[in-house]
Amino acid sequence: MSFDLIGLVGLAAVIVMLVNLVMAIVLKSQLSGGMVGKRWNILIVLVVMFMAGYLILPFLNRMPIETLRAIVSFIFLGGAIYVLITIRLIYGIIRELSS
Amino acid sequence: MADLQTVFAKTPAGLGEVQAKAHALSRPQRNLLILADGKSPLGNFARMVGGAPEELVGIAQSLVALGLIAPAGSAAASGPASRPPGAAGPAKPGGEALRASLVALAEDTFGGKAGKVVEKLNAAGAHPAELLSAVESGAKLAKLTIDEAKAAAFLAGAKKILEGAAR
Repeated sequence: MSFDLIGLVGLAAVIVMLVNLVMAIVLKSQLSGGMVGKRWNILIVLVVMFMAGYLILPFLNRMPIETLRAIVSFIFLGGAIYVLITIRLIYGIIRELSS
Repeated sequence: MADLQTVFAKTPAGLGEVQAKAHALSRPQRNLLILADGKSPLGNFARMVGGAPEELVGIAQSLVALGLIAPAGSAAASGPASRPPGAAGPAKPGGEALRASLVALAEDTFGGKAGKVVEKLNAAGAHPAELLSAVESGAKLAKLTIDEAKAAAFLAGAKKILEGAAR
């Protein structure tokens, strides 16, 4: 039961991230450059990396603990960078719109 | 003989060309066509047209040869200086002519990505204040989603056009 719940949560995470990726790529067609467009490519790369990270969920119990820690650390780092870029983007948009 | 002190105005064909883009004009030619307002001497446009001042005369003459601009006051020019003597007050370009110039500037600056900016300009009223608001809004949009440097160039060029019309 516990394993099923974890698997289900993992599957949901992958599906949501897939939706994020599709939306990011669709929106990219409207962002050829500029303040947002330049950072959008980085966000797409990070979404792809997150998806790849989430896809290894079924194999986690077969991995050595050190490998597992390394993967989780990289996912945390990617998450932190993602949030940083998003906050800076929102800050830039607010500053631009209020100028 | 034209020189940098000559004032040029768009001819009726030039006004049409701003929108129609029927001629394959170079960027400096098109920039000068947009800027020719019948009031400012040619030399004022050097920086905006994007060529050396001495090249401006040649660019202007090529547009004259195409019948798109003419020295202000001549029969061919449609600008303010060509008004009949005694006409009350200086003429100002109509809102639609201003809008056409701004749309042409946006299309020249942003190329195929000008759509959203052009939409804003077309949705604005014809009053210069409303056009200025649309220009500023369009420049912000362009800065966020197209290109920051081009957005700044568009804003500067559009303000120049609007200021020229207000004089």
